[in-house]
Formats: sequence, structure tokens, C-alpha cells
Amino acid sequence: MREQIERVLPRVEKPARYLGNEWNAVHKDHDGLVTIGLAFPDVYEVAMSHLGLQILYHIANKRMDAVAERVFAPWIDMEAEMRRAGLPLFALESGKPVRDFDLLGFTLQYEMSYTNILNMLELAGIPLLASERTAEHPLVMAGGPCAYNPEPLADFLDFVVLGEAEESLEEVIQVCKGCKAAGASRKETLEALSRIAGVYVPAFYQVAYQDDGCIAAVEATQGAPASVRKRVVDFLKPEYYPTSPVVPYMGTVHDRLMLEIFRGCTRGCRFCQAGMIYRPVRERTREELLGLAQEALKASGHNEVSLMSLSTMDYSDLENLLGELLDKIGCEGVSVSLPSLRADSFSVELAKQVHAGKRSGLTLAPEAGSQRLRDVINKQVTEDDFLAAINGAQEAGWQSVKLYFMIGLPTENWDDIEGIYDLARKAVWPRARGSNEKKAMKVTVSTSSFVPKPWTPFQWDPQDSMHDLEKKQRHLRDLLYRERNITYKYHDADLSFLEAVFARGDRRLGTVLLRAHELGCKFDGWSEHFSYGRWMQAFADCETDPTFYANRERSRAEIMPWDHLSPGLEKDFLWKERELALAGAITPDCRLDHCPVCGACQHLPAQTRLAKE
Amino acid sequence: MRKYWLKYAKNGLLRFVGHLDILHTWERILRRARLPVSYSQGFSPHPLLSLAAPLPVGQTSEAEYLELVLDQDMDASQVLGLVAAALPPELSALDIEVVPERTKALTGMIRFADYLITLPVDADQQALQQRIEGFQQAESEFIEIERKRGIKQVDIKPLVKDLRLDGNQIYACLATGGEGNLRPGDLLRFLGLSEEQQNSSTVRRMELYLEQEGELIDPLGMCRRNLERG
Repeated sequence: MREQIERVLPRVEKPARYLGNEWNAVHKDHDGLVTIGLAFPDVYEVAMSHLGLQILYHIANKRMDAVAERVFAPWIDMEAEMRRAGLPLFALESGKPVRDFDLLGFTLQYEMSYTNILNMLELAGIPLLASERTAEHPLVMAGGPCAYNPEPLADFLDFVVLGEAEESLEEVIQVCKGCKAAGASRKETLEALSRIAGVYVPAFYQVAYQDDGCIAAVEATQGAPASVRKRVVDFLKPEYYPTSPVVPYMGTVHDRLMLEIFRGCTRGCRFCQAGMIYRPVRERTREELLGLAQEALKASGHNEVSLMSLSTMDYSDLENLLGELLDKIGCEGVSVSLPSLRADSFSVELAKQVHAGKRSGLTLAPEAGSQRLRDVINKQVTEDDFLAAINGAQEAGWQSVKLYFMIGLPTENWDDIEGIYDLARKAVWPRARGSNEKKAMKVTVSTSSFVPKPWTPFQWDPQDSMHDLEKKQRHLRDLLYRERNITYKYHDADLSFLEAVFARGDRRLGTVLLRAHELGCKFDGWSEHFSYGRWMQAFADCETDPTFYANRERSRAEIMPWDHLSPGLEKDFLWKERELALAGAITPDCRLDHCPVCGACQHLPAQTRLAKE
Repeated sequence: MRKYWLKYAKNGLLRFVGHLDILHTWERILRRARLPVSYSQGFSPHPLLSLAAPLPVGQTSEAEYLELVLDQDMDASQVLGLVAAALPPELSALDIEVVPERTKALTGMIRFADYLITLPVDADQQALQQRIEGFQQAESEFIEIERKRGIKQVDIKPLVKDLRLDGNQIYACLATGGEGNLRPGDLLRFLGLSEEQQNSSTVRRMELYLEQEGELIDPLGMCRRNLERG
């Protein structure tokens, strides 16, 4: 296979995507091992910027009885060459066909990568439908944030691993190894897997529907548990962290060392799925992080460390961590970067310290244009915080700033939209924010359209119609167009609409996915390949109304497609948060104030762990 | 501050990794080797590293040269040893010399390169031999070469220092760099190979040369000669 692959590489645009020989890549003899393909349904540069993949690669390859190799979506040109040469989808390290592996695991990071999963299965020569696979095919598994509602993919997945896989992946390997040795059938293996906590086998659940299209009941069969709860690690052990990360030869989206400083977030922004599903907060200690960073820098040769988390500014020992990091590694020409800033002056002060000399872009996310709407979504940033942040940034030498907002949030009205305009203007003009600076700031306003997600307080809410979203975009564009210091960018509403359909879809959408794949949909997240028309054709051909999933308000009593899965949260907590949202009442961060009993600390075998109390 | 020229080979799959990516790879290698690479002064400092001559994607080489500057005066063989331990298997460090700091950048001095081209089995060796002999006797030989600004007529006679056929291999010494450049692909086309045959030929760069006192000399050879002369 290797030779055949090398023969087509001279004809593709970026052959370095397909080599598999990068620094720290693991090459093992497959003989007698459980073979795992870790698949990312997007192109190399995106896949290699994902820390989760490196963590699982590292954990699986540490085992003597397993080998994990990377499997990514070939770019359009490579796919054409592979199809012409009759080359099946291969794993990067060995160049072996993935259809010969024991396990093929996809990470579900984004709804619009689902068609790539189908395309990859097809390229691999693996039947798309789980029901048509036999003993000779790999077990196709999935995990990641979208796995909290994997129902649109239920027909295509053999099993799903919910939550953090540091421990459960090892259990999956253990079970597969045993079943392989015992010559167990595919069904027996899946039954054994379904007994692992956090493993969900979609085929073992029967879904019945009411006349109105809503779910009537979900019934577990084959002895599978009625409800599957996510796995969580009690604390982030140092050995989970990949201190010898694979280092790409070519440039990637994040060409730097990703240091995960904590997991989980308790700010409680009501639109944010990540803030809900990754609870509780577990911070690594400063000493441990320093050690991990030094070790991984030495093993990789990276010249930048990015402090990764959902909300890096909330790390309890951040100033000390930054100070010591800059002290210990700064002298070696290594820089530190902060991926996300909070819109306040504390954050800007730290950014100034970190980016000494190097002025990269500054991005702040007020998310909504008015205080009223920021209270609805529980984004606890005031206008004063925000303006102070801009003042600080300008004093520190930044001349431009990027502002992120969402449009289409629940209860949004025209005043909220115009609030974005007002806030952007204040960011431009120093006088409007009480600053003595003379020059106007350059401001880029970027809006995305709100997508209601499962396991958030807004999971019952309809997404704004595409018509309304586009009306709001136009209004904002007309307002901002007059300002020569402001640039306005927005995401296309049609893509957000499809995200909303699949985010809260049920398993009946499987036929639509299959049809979209047949019609040639792939790389839908790449605007040059996305075709809304093809998608609408797929829905029409399947006689499925996408607005049923995206734009319908759901009742409290409705059974959600994901209700039999759980990230450990209480549905009552989410509903209560929704009521508070509609009342415009905020819920403070639980680490600062009282516990709102979301369920995470009550139900999960993990507790909030802070580096510094 | 001390300046070094390091000779290395680039093999196997790394032929698919481009010039700039290789330069970035060297930055990481030197950091893994914990070598004190010097940085440029100014607004956005960058490491003082450069490669002698870009190697096109698809070619391997056993004579690539990295010019690097270190903050400390380290023994050349020690640098070579530290680098060797941090290299991926398809790069190998071969040789190194300290060069006087005032030496001009190696990049601008490269004039010629040796290539070993292995032809596909279906190449007509007899026809090739005739073509090469004809070329050697000609006064000048104009061919069309595609450049960024369009197709140009170029006399390749002064761009070919040496050209020999040995079985299914061609040995060629061709001009490279800013003062005249002939790509192996263009030579193969001139010699009458089809596009398919050109694509299935493998090209390996064997040496790079500077010009000193009218003769060609490889970079480390020049260092050593200058050293002997004091």
C-alpha cells in the first residue's frame, strides 16, 4: 500500500498531509495487537490541531497490546487520486487500509462534518450502515462533544463513548482484546462493550414516535442500560497528557504546544454546550503544568505554548503560572499564548504581559449587544468591564480589536441588535469610553447565528428562522457600513440552520445524511464545498422537514432524542436556568457563590478541583 | 556568536516536505537539541537559520546545507552530535564546519549542483546517449523554459557543466541559484523524455558548489581550504 500511496503523492497539492512519519509518530508492528484507527473527519491541518486526538493516541499507544494510528479525511484532490488508483482509506502511520483495523473511532466535534464520516467509511470500503457490517469489518465508534446527541448518526455507529475517554478507551481495548481472543461475534462484542459505563450502543435502543413527530418512548433492549451517563476522570493525571506530541512537518491551524490547564467551566453561560457538558472544573496544579510544559517542549521543539481550557482567564493560579512559565521557558525563545480573553481589564493586563513585544490580534467576546441580553445568556460581563478592557488594550499599544457576538439569541429584539452597533462605536472612539487616547481603534465585528444545543438551558428554544437571521444581519450591516473604522463579518445563516437541525436531530435524520452523502455533500464546514441547495434536495427527497428540528419550540414534557444519555446534569436544573434566563436573572459562577445543583458534582465521580483555593 | 555550515541528507518520504516546512523543521530540531540559536534583532526576531538552496518537492538529497548562528562558541563536532540526536530518521547530519562570521550568506554563493537522476526502465538509453553526445559537441543549445513570467528561450549550454549517462542513470552538474538555473526536469525534457518518464524518474541532489578562483568547490571544502591558508 505504501508504494501505491507514494505513487499518487506527487500529484496532490499538499503531500505532507499523508506521510505519517512526523516526529513522535508511533510505528508498531500490528501483529497480535488491538488495532485502532483514530479518525478525525476533516483535513490534516484541522485534525492535527486537536488536542483530544493526541491524548487518545498517546494513551492507546502506551499500551503493549494496542496500536493507534491516525486516519484523516483526504482533501478533495487526494480523494480523487485515491479513487482513480483504487486506493482505500488508509491509516497514516502504516499506510494499511483502515477496513482491516479492529476499531475505527471518529471524533464528533462539529455537526457539519457528519457527511465526511460517511464519505470516509465509503472510501474505506466499510458498509455505511452498522447493520450491514460483519465480522470482517471494524467496529465503528464515536465520541466528542456532539456525541451527547449522536442520534442523527445512530444508523452508522456501532457504539458511542460518552464523556472523557482517558479511562474508558482502555476498557474498550480490554474488552475488544478479550472478545477477539474468545472469537466472540460482533453482537456479543457489542453486548460486552455496552456493559462498560459510558458506552452507548444505538442499535440496542428502540425509538417510538407520536403522530406529531415527537418521540413517544425510547426503550433499551439486549440488557443495555436505560440511561447512559458520561465518563469523567476525577482529576487530570499527568500521565494522561501527551508529553511527546506528534509534530507536523507542515503548518497547521494551531502550530504550537497545547497545554490543557484545566477541564470544565462553571461560568454557566446559558448558550454554551461546552460549559455544561464538561463539568466539573478540574485544574492542574501550577507545578505540574510547568513540568509538563518543559517536558513537552523538549520532546517537540515547539516555540509556543498555548494555555488551553474553556476559559483560561479563570484558572485560579493564572498570574503565578504565567510568571513562572515566562521565567522558565521565555529565555529559550519560547512564547506563551492565551487563546481566549475575558472582556475585562484584568485579561488585557495579562495579555499585555504575555505578548510583550509581539502584538497579535486581540479578540473579545461580549456575545450580546445589551446588558439585558447578556443577563439572559448569563454572560457576566458588564459594559464597564468591556470598555475598560478596550481602554487598557489601546494604552498597551493595540490598534485593532475583534469583537464576537451572537445574533438570534432567545428574547433578542432590535434594541439588542442596535446595542452591538453602539458597543462597536464605543470601542472605536476613545472619548465614548472616557479615555484620553486620540486615535480611533479599528474594530472588526463578527457575528455568528445562535444554534440551540442539547444539554443547555436553551435546548427547548427554537432557532430564529433563516429569514429573521438574515434580516438582522442586513440591519447590522446597514448600520455598521457607515463606520469606516468598523468591518463587519458574519457567518452564513444557512449553515447555522443545518447545524441546528443536526445538533438536536433524532435518528430519522440518518436517511437524510445518507441522501446528502449520495448527492455529494462533504467538507460542509468549508464554504467552497458547502451547497445549501444539495442539502435542501436531500431533505425534500426524504420528505423530512428540517424546521421541525431547528425552529420549533419544544415543550417541557417532550422527550428529547438525547434524554437517555447524560452528561450528569439535572434536566430540572437546565429548565430552571431557562426560566431565570427569560426573567433576565443571572446565576453566579458556582465556585464563587452557592451551588445551583446542576447535578455534575452530585452524580459524577469527580469534584471541583482548583489549583489554588 | 559563531556561524556554522552543516551538511545533511534529506531522504525518503521527506522529499514531499517543502523548503519552508524543512526550515521550520530545523528550528524545532535545534530547539530539541537545546542549541542556543541566535535571533535577528528588530521588531519580529527570527532565528538566524537559512538553507543554501531550496530543494524542490519530490527530490531527495545527500548534500543539503544549513547555515546557522549560535550565541555561544561551541565546538563544531559537539553541535553535530547534539543535532544528530534530535533528527527524524529521514534527515541525517553528515558534516559541519565553523565559518568566519564575516563570510557572505551561503544562499547567495551557490552556483552549481550535482544530480543523480535514475530513469524509468522504458527510457531509450541509446537515443539518450546520442542526444548527450550531440549536446556536448554543440556551440549552444536553446530550449524553451517556462518561468513565472512566461516561456523564455534559454541557452542551456553554459548551464550544464557535466552530463553523462551510465546505464539507466544520468549524472549531471547543472547551474543553480540566482545567476543561472537549470532544473533537472527541463534537462530531461530536452533529452527527449516523455512527461510520464520525467515523472517516474527520481532525482537526487548529490552536491552543491560555490565558485572560487574559477573552479567549483563544495561549501565545506572551501571552509577547509580557507582554514589551511589561514
